[in-house]
Amino acid sequence: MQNPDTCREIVRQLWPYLDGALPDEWQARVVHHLEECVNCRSHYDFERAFLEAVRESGAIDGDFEPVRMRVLSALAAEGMNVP
Amino acid sequence: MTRDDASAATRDAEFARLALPLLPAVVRVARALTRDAADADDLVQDTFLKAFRHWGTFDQTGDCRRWLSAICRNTFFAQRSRQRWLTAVGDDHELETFAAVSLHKLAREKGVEDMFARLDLAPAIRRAIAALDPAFRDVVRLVDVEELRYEEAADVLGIPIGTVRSRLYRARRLLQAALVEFASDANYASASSTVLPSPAQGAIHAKS
Repeated sequence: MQNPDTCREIVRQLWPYLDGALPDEWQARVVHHLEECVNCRSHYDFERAFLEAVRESGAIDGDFEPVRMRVLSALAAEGMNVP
Repeated sequence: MTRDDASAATRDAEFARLALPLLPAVVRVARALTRDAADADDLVQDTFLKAFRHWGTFDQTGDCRRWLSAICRNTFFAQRSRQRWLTAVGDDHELETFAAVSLHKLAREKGVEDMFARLDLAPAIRRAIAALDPAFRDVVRLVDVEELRYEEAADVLGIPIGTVRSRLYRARRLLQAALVEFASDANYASASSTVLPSPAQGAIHAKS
């Protein structure tokens, strides 16, 4: 049985952990706790799946070709030999 | 070919190889800054022209995306008053992280805990992001989609890192709430499969 205070502390660091924004010391603590705590591991899995889904959604859209053509045209006018 | 010609050809080739492929990333940064498609396109063009003119100052062992983002941001703030973008949001980090735990619990209770693995939620996610307040949408796009670090997003938006965190965690909670509701409304349950009807938005599809 995990100490609830420890779980609270770890959960508070989960997003920074998933974002790679934790200091090394905290990183190791989170990894260690997740190996041992089923509840926190489950929450971690849920959050990680959510972030992967957001990333894969490609959430921005749109056709980049018009702005690409515009930039290439401006660069050509600037003297660049555009591909 | 003169030495100047060779040098220009090398510069052009390097720029085409390292900078031009990053155009979508710069567009996203520009959209986050301007929140207007036409203004964003102007800013993207200005950014690439400046980058091309100053290509000799770029350290090619460095991060070109970050360099272009910095040019984009500096160009934007040189053109506009920075002050209007410095909307403060309180640092309620703890509140948001524990709210996320509650949402996870709610998802489990509604039988949609594994919705991310089972369903293609991309259209619903895009709609949910589009519905966010622009201040929250910007950080999600930069950090969660564009994969900028907190400090890079803070640089781009001209806001403190603590504000990036606050907005990001709040935005994630709002997105999760929208997705749990979406999956629940679609009457999705773990035992379901194939195509499920969505009340307002056509259909969501089970992942193959």
